[in-house]
Amino acid sequence: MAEMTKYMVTGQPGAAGLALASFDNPQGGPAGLTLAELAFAGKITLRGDGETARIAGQIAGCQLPDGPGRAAIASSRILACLGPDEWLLLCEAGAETGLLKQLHSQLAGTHSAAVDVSDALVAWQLGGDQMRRVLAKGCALDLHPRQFAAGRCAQTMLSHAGVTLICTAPDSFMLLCRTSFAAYTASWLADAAADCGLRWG
Amino acid sequence: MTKKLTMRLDPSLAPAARINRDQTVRFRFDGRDYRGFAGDTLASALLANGVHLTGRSFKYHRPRGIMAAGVEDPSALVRVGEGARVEPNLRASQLALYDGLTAESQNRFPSLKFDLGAVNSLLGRFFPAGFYYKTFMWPASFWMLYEHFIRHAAGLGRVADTHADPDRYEHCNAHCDILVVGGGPAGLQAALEAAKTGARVILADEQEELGGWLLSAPEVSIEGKPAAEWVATMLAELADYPEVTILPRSTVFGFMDHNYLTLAERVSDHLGNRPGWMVRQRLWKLRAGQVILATGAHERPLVFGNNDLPGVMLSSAVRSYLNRYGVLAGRRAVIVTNNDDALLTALALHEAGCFVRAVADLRPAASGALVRAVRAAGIPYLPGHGVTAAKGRLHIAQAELAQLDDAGEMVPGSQQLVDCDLLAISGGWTPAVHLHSQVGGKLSWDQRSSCFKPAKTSAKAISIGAANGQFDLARGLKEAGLAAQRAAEQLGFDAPTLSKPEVSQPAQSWQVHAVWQMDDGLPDGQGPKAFVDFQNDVTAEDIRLAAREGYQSVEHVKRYTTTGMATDQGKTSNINTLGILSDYMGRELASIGTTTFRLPYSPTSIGMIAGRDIKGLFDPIRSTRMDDWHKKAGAKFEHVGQWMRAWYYPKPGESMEQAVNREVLAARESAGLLDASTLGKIEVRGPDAAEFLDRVYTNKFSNLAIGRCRYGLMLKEDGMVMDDGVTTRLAEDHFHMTTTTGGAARVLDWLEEFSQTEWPELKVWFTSVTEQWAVATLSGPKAREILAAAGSDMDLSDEALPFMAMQEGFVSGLPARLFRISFTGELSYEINVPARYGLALWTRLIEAGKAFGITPYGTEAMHVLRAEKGFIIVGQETDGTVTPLDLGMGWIVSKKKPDFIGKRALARTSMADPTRKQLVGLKSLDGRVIPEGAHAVLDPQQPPPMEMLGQVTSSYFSPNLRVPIAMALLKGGHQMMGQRVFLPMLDGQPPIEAEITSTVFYDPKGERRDG
Repeated sequence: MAEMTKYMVTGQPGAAGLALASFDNPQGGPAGLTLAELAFAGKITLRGDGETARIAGQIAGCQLPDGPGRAAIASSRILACLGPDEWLLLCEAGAETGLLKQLHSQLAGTHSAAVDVSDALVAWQLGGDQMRRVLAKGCALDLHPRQFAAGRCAQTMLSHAGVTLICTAPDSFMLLCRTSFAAYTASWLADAAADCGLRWG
Repeated sequence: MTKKLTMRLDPSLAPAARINRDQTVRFRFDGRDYRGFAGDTLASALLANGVHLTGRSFKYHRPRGIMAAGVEDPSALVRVGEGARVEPNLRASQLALYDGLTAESQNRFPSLKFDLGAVNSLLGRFFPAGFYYKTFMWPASFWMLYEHFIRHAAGLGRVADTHADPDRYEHCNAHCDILVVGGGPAGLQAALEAAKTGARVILADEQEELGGWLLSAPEVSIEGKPAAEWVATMLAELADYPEVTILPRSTVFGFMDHNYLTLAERVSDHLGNRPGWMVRQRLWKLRAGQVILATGAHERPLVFGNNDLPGVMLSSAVRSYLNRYGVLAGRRAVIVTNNDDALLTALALHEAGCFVRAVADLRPAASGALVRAVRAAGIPYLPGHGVTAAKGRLHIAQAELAQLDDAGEMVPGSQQLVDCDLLAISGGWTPAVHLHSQVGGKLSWDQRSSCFKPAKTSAKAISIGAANGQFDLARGLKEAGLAAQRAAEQLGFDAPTLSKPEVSQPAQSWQVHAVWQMDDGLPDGQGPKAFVDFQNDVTAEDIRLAAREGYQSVEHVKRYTTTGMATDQGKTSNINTLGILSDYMGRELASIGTTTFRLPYSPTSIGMIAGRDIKGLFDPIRSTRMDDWHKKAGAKFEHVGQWMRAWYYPKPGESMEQAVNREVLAARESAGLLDASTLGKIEVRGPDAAEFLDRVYTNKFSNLAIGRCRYGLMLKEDGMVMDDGVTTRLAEDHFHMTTTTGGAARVLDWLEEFSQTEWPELKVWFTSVTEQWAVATLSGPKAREILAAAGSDMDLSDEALPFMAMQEGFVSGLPARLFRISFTGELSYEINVPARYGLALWTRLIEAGKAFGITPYGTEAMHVLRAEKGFIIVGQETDGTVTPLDLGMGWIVSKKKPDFIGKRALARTSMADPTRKQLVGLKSLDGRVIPEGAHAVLDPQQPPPMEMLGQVTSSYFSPNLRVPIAMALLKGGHQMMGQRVFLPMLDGQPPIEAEITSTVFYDPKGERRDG
């Protein structure tokens, strides 16, 4: 029991933050998993057709991703194609208000939806040399660099939580999940990293 | 007291042994201390200490010992560990020895050497196949008694007394191009050839060390190196490939469609003690492009009288203990074989100083290098001979050998008794086709080697080496290379030229002279028992009895006799069963077929299957943004779906009842505040959004004005209520839908399904925003004043914000959508703010409401408040069999709309049946609160089975009415207003009498909702 409760995380994402504690790699060396919350990062769900995404990309300053499972990354902005008619636009905290305004005005009259989900989802930046191994404990997708390299994204399950994974750089993932699942997901990640250490923040 | 290692060979006699003689390991078996070496298994260490006897058998409690040296051993099962870490039925032959290992024998009472249950053996004639079916059938009423007895007597080992497993387990997913199962020669060769192509390769082997039988074969050399050295070279080379993963102690135990396989990795079992962070076992879920099965083969025992005596061992196991572990399994050995391979055992024993008393060869005229070598060594060699019985009490003392004639029958008078303490037997080899078969692969019978070999498969898999019936090493290695090359090429990798390792080994034939049971000249029932399935105590006689009684299909024989149904899944018994059946029925063995192979290949632990899904991580716990406040306020929580919702907020010393009553009263007298953030929320957007809503709700939404809210019911196609909630029109083409807390995900899927598959022509998008908005419901006569005190730029007057309307503005400085919706019947606001402000909103409202007596209330008070008003909760008043009409909500079902989901079903005649269960109110007449789920009857005196009217769905004490209230679904209830019903109690109390009423108990005219 002690080993399990040790990693249980409580709290809410955002200003107060999750009560997630770092712990050392028991096998020595740096923590195998690093986890940092991108507090208040802007997030917009887009539904529509390719034209919707093209306009959104233009507004956000992102390329149009190459189809479902691909993400276009431009510094602080990411346009991830999650399905044939669904995209997720990520931006720096606060920028979503302006982007939404532009989107609503430029998409007016088209069959599309741009919805602010900044507070609905929590975004974490993941790294560490054991990151893929830890994720593989709960994610059935093939996350090997040959299959899931920078610029790939997917909606999938991490254990029992629905998550969106975006490979933002060769050894760096962004992980998004519903905020109500944040404590569970963080607890799960911490427990799964018990054998390699975790650095939070 | 520590016993001397009596049977351990001098290093000079077992130079290739893979034990570390410098590292002594202490262990305990049945309360005695022993020593072994690092590299030992429990079985090899026991044998080194002269211990053969490891347990009693399942049914007859016969003494049993170590029979094999690997996963196939049916006999040597032990209980390992202490306290909560106890694990029964572990195979001694697979347990790596570690310091402090504690094991005990199983199924013995009171002691291993003197066992009371062995009386079953004397009564063996009364325990035939199908014993349970025959004996316990009559009288039926006695089954309870029999069951008690059987439960106690049946089963193998005992589990731990404490049930919480203290160890960690986990799952992991893995993908590879080529999975190689088995690290013997063929597996190693295939893995290396596959690795050379650049493919991602996983090589898994169930043993402590890779190498398979080569680790027991100093007589073999490959590429000029002794076998074990070749293995080491191969492993070193494989380790240089970054895309190769080598998994020792890892059993691939399941092979399913789409090349999905499961693997059990025993990560740290061999360590004994492990740090808390380390998992004990890991379940791998593998997805492989191609699978190469190099799972080897298992040696079969011979079937003869008392073949289960300790000291009777498989020939290859004897050789393995000798060469790999440096342990002599006996000092005076007899070998009985039907093939060449056991001759190697005879020679190896002879060289190690064991007195080989005789080799009985069932083949009448075998010749060849090995036969010549045995003769040359001066070992008595008896061609055309078999073994008719083993003799001894707790260990073999004599083998009865006899000559067989051309028909395989014993030549009368030819028996001779040979003293021995070891009988090594070989009945040929059974390829381990389990995985091939699990995924639906076919088998073909090979008469020459007397075994089933893998044939056609629809999986992307290929069997090689001994698993493919290719027992010759050189050919097996070639087969392995080709298989790897083909697998890689099919995945688009370029395969380089294959290496062709040179093999040097004694010339050996793989022809098998099958004799399924040694004839002892005695009719069934008179000779000693000849076992086929050692773990389930099934004898050759049992198989014939089953066939005689009409169970002739192999699947029937299996179930009737239980052969092959033990934890070893018949690895040593299946083919012998078929052979005996085929002899008895006079049919070709190939035509008998095999039983179905199912996972797991070998037993796996429940802990590993549970993995990380235990305790706090068993299921996600979802919480809202106000969660911290509730916790600090001392709230009790309840599960609602995966959510943990504040249930009630007891003050110090308050009971639940007192707290709930206080909260309910406050919401009607001043104001209550509820965290309603968990309600499902869906943005519905698009030019056809209104039309879409018209089709999924029973009532109309297209005529809803912008800024107005409407309650809606959703039905399934069968007309039954599925969900409900309030939907608000934000713009012409834009709606904000709410759903029940538990139904949110289901409703979104439902909407997407109909949008994508039924009405793709409707232009509408759905986006879940459940977590985007935090919601506080402020309810009560003081609600408006509190809102004003909290500060709002919105006009809160009835004219500007009437019931079922929405405004956007600020509340206490926070951007908000303010909905005037009431689930309590009071003046009520659902205040939605972006979730980041949820906690701020809550604390500011509490602060602003202090002067007005604001009281946070939980889900329990919410339930009472809505029940006082007769509002339903989907999932409480409904259970998937309830229509809107049953609920008395016909008013919400549009008669004008051309269609909506469920409309057609509602038009069925049976839906208008007046005897359907209908929702009514119940007033308890004696002041007792009716238990939820209680059944209502008209006549409480009627003897059972009583005629039941229906059941209570909700029941509470109403603090406002000061009486218990309830809702119930009763047959024809709507026509029974004012009638009395009775609710019989389970606790022996007299039935509760209740009056049927309207469901609206409080403020029936709805005068309170405007404050």
